[in-house]
Amino acid sequence: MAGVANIEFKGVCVEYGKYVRALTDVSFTVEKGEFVFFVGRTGSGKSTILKLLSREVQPTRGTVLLDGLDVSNMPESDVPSLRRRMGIVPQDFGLLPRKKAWENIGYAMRAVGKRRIEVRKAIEPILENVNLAHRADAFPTEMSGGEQQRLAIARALINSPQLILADEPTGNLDADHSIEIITLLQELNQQGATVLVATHDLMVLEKFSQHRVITMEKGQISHA
Amino acid sequence: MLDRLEFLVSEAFTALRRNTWMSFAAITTSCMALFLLGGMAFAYRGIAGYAETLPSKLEVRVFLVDKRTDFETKQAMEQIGKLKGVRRVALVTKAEAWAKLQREMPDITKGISNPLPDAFNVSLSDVDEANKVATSIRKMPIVEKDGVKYEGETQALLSQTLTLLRWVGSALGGLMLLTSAVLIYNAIRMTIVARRREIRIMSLVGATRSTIVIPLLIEGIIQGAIGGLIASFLIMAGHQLLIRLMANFAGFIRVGALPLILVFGSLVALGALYGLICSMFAVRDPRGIA
Ligand SMILES: Nc1ncnc2c1ncn2[C@@H]1O[C@H](COP(=O)(O)OP(=O)(O)O)[C@@H](O)[C@H]1O
Ligand SMILES: [Mg+2]
Repeated sequence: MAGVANIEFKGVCVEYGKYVRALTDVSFTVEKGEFVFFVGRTGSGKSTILKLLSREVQPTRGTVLLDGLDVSNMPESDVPSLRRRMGIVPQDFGLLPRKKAWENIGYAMRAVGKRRIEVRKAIEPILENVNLAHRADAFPTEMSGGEQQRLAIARALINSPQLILADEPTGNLDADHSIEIITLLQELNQQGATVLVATHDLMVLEKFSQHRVITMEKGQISHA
Repeated sequence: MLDRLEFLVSEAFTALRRNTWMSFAAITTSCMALFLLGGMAFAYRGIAGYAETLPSKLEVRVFLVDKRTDFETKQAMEQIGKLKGVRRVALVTKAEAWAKLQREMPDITKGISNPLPDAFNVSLSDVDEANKVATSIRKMPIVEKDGVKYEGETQALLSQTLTLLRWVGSALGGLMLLTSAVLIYNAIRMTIVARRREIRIMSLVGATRSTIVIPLLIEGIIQGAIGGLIASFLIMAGHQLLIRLMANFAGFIRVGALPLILVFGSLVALGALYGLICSMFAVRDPRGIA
């Protein structure tokens, strides 16, 4: 599928309130099946780029296209189906502490309308996919940071997404676990998904230097 | 479909359980509001129904002493008939009156010997003369002490009672209704805060707005409906209490039967509707939820 424009940012500006400018005139394209790192200091606008795609944020100016679809201007009622096409791995994992690992996945599946039988069948392979099958009955608090991150990734896979957005997936992990997580995302990329990763982890960049890197500085792309 | 409903309902119940105290407050106040409004409505209905069974305003009932001659009776009837404002006088014997009462209230009259005296039914042509007529009749020797029952007084009392009931009931009920609105609204807002993680996850994985909102609406509906249910039981208990009191103090005033299905049906339905409306306000702002 390489060569097909999947994501396109055209002159995107984002302002939070009157004074905070998160992005200034950002333009780039990402092709289907690419693996891209967004790199930069804290506050440089990496998360905002990912949130524009998932419509958690709307641009003040410019357009964000996903498969030719104008994400920034679609009606609110189309947002759920937009999000079902992507897997979002939030920076803070967003796990439910009172639910076991498998219940965290099951809950998300139920929320998007999957039936109980479907959930029961799907959970095992999804957990298998992120190497967590043996931890199905653990609560998030009983899991290591790496395991929690993998669980968050597993939950992002419930809609079999063609696009995965991971925000600082190695933020709280040691080197070994960081490599393990990026390797996992790489595998998902090899299975066909476009993967966008926001990170400020230079060790990771060195280790996975074969991938495209877009560098951010003060809300602008400084190097692509 | 059922599978879907199960998820939404279980979400609502989870929220209710997590939010125990707020739910408790919301249920209690909506119960009080519905109890006041419902209790007033059914008391009103009962009293209004009773008022209709009373003799018209144009009637004066005159109870007679037992010791009297037929001549005295006839003479008195003639005298009364000549009073200004009187249209007609009729003698109602104690047997006739008792028979009528037995027909109307078989359960109360059963096993009792006739306690009623003979009486005149005096129809008036002019309500304004009622007081004068009553005063004149009261002086007659064959009339029992305090034996002139001017039903207009009862009527007036009843209509005053009804007005009072309407005002007090609406004012208190309305106040409680407002309070419970605030509390149900708050309970739902609290749930939104308490469940923001879940709501965020749902929203991130692409759950529709209705999936996120319906459990919150169900929660409001349940709070209102439970309030209505408890209010129905309270009204039922209140009604029983009234029957006891009336039986002890006012032997013959009958407390009407309570239309139970109507009470429960209408209060639960009203409560549910009310809870729905309050929670709809609480979830109106989509940004607050997503
Ligand atoms: N919700 C928000 N409200 C106000 N300012 C925000 C908000 N989110 C991000 N910002 C600001 O926007 C800028 C870019 O933030 P972000 O995209 O999170 O950067 P990064 O992910 O690279 O750390 C920062 O200056 C940040 O403080
Ligand atoms: Mg960030």
